[in-house]
Amino acid sequence: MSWFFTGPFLYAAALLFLAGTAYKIISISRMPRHLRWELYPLPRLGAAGSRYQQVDHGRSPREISRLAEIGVMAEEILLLKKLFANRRDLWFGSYLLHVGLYFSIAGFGLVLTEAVLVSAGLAAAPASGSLAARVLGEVVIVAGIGGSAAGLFGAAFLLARRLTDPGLRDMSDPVTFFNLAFLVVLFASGLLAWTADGPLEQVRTHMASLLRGRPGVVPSTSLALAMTLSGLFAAYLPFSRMFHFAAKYFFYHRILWDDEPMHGGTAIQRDFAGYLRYPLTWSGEHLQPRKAWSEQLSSRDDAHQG
Amino acid sequence: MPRVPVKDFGSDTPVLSPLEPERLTQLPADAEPRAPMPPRDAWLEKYDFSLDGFSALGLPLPKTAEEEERIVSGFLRGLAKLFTRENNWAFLLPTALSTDYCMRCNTCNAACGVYEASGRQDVYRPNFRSELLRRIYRRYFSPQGKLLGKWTGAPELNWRVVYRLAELAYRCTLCRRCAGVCPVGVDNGLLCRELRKLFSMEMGIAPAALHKSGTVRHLATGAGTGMKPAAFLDNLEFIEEIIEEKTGKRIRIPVDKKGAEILLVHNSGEYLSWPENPAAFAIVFDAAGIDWTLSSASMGYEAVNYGLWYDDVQYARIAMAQVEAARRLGVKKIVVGECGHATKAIVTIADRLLSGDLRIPRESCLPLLEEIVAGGRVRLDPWRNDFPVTLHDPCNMVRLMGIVSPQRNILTRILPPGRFREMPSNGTENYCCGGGSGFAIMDAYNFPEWRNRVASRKKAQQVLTAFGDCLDPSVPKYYCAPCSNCKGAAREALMDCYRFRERYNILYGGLVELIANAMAELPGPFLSWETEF
Ligand code: SF4
Ligand code: SF4
Repeated sequence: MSWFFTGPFLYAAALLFLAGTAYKIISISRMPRHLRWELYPLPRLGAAGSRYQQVDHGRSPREISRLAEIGVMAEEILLLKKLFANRRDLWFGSYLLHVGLYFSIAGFGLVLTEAVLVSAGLAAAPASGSLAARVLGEVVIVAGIGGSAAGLFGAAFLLARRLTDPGLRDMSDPVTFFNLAFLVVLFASGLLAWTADGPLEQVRTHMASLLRGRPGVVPSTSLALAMTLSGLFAAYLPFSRMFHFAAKYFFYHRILWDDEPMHGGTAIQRDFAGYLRYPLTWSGEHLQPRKAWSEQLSSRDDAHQG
Repeated sequence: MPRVPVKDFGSDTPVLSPLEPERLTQLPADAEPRAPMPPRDAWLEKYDFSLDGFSALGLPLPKTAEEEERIVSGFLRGLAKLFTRENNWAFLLPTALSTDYCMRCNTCNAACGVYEASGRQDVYRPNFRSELLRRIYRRYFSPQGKLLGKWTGAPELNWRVVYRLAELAYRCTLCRRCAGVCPVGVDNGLLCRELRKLFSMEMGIAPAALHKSGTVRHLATGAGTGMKPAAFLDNLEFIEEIIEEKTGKRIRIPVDKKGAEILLVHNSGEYLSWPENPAAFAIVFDAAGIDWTLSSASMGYEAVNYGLWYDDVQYARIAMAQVEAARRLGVKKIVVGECGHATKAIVTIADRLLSGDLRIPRESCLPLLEEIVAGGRVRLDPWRNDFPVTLHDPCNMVRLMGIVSPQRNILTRILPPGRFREMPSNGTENYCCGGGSGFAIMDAYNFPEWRNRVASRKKAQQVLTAFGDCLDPSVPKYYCAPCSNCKGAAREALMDCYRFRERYNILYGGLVELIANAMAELPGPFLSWETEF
């Protein structure tokens, strides 16, 4: 059983994670462009601010500071700045939770990279005891223990807040509680596994075996449990609201910071011309059922009757 | 404090969340208006007041089980359409993302002027209506929802849920202040607008002021006020008389000047309620030697677009017809007067709808006014404006278009040093005047009571704070709101309800009037605390 969950199941989970992520990102990207809906300030406009502050704004060159934009993104990703500024009481818990995730993912990424390099003959096997392998091992352990502890504390704090703060409790649906409880269990299992005897060697060995396509059995029960739960989490992630980490890109770059004006002959214009050909099926009396948007918009005389 | 969990939204209590006046945030004792009026019995018998004891929509109570059923099925039909490409390409991406990725952290709550002013009543949380929308959508349209049933946290869907949700869609000013603080980027203002759209486009539910005597009348007569071209021209004559009275000079306001550099379009309410505003524009433009014109063609002299607040088709019909009027006149660009939503509606939101010869440049009047003032194109004497002034930032122009500095650069040039004072929370962090999203013109049933007491309350507090050191009525003060709807809200809430004029001697008006008032060439002041225009 343990072999199944730390072997075939993990392959399936990884596949689900990748397929789910690709599916979600592709389906969001394929949504139609929308009418402009930006929200100021737009970081990349820098100190000059909105172009609409200028006479003949369409004629002046657009100065864009990608650096300023990246700075704001970094503050958000690394420090959760908006939460810090506007909901300080949740920030610490949320920050620990996110740091826990970052550390755990980093630890996983390091072990995976090492296993790939070893299997490609580009690095010495961990058993060789090389300096690089030892340093990496230490880093992974610190990331594993630190990440799990931070994540556990953060998730437990947020869950406790949510259960005790009436406002948060009332606005939470059952899934919100489920997600936090899942994170608590996930990080707790991680902490258990990393603080047990010799998890690093087992993780390295197992990762190598997974890469070879011949998964072995993970001797430690706590590690097997942590791996199973991690797989479950990875498979669930793209389909859950926790996928906001990826959705945020679209929130900001495609909506709140998108002030791209339309120019003739561009893809934007072609797309919009296409949307206006869609038939509309809203039933309001002031609309003409099943006629294309373009016809609805040129039908002012009908609308006059009200 | 009575709590209203989302799942209980459809409960059969007569009024789910009655507004409790004692919970409203505190204003100085003398600024508090009289006790609120309860809804009339005759209304209660016929219409739904079951959300909070107020009605913006006057939804008739269903009499039969079939009627109740029709309300629910119409809503579900509309909800499904909201998430389809064909029906909602215009806002599908923001709607879908905001529906799917809220983390229920409530960070948005404290940012909402309505929620705060109400004394934090649950139903006015920015995410409350969004949460209803997403839970109902999940429960009825997602495979997990079908499996989870009531474990989605959605209320049992009945006509009360639908009607209360329709009313709740008109307890948000669409100011989008909440979206600015959301760590994820979720936009509760947008979702509220989408709800309004569902109700209008599928169920024909919209406030009469926005639809029947709003966009429908606009499309039929050429102006939201119903002003026909002949009446418009009469108004201009009257304005020319005002100008002559004030300046001693007869200015001929240019109308239908083919090929002019600028077509200036005002909210037509200005001509009726605040003629001093178009008059001041004419005085300033004339003195600055601007090549401009007004249009007397149907749709050409009306800047408003109420469709923006509740209906995509009505919105797009109006926007395109307005630009078409400008095209026929052959002007080089359209400049929108002091009206926030109208500026945003035509400058940014319409941008991707206009192609071919409808791609006429469109901009706000504020940068142009700044250019005139800063470029020395009119002679100014700031000491003519020697009184304290505070500035309101209209959400549509400031947070939603980023126009922050022109109005400030103007004020620092037309006021003596030290006379301009910012409100707390200004610029892109401003609070709505309370008249946003149509509230300023929605006056049915007892809705104005709610608007004035709750939606405009934060603005009342801000104005009092800004003038905190000079509230004594012996000091005349000016609340500058460069937007027609914001002025409408100021008139209804700050002046009529809170009586700021009588109590504190605060005059309200636009920005261009202050510029005209500072013009050295005028024989006397343009503004007056004593007489109305
Ligand atoms: S809308 Fe944003 S700020 Fe509000 S609860 Fe959802 S995630 Fe939090
Ligand atoms: S848009 Fe404004 S009024 Fe509406 S919920 Fe958000 S903050 Fe409140």
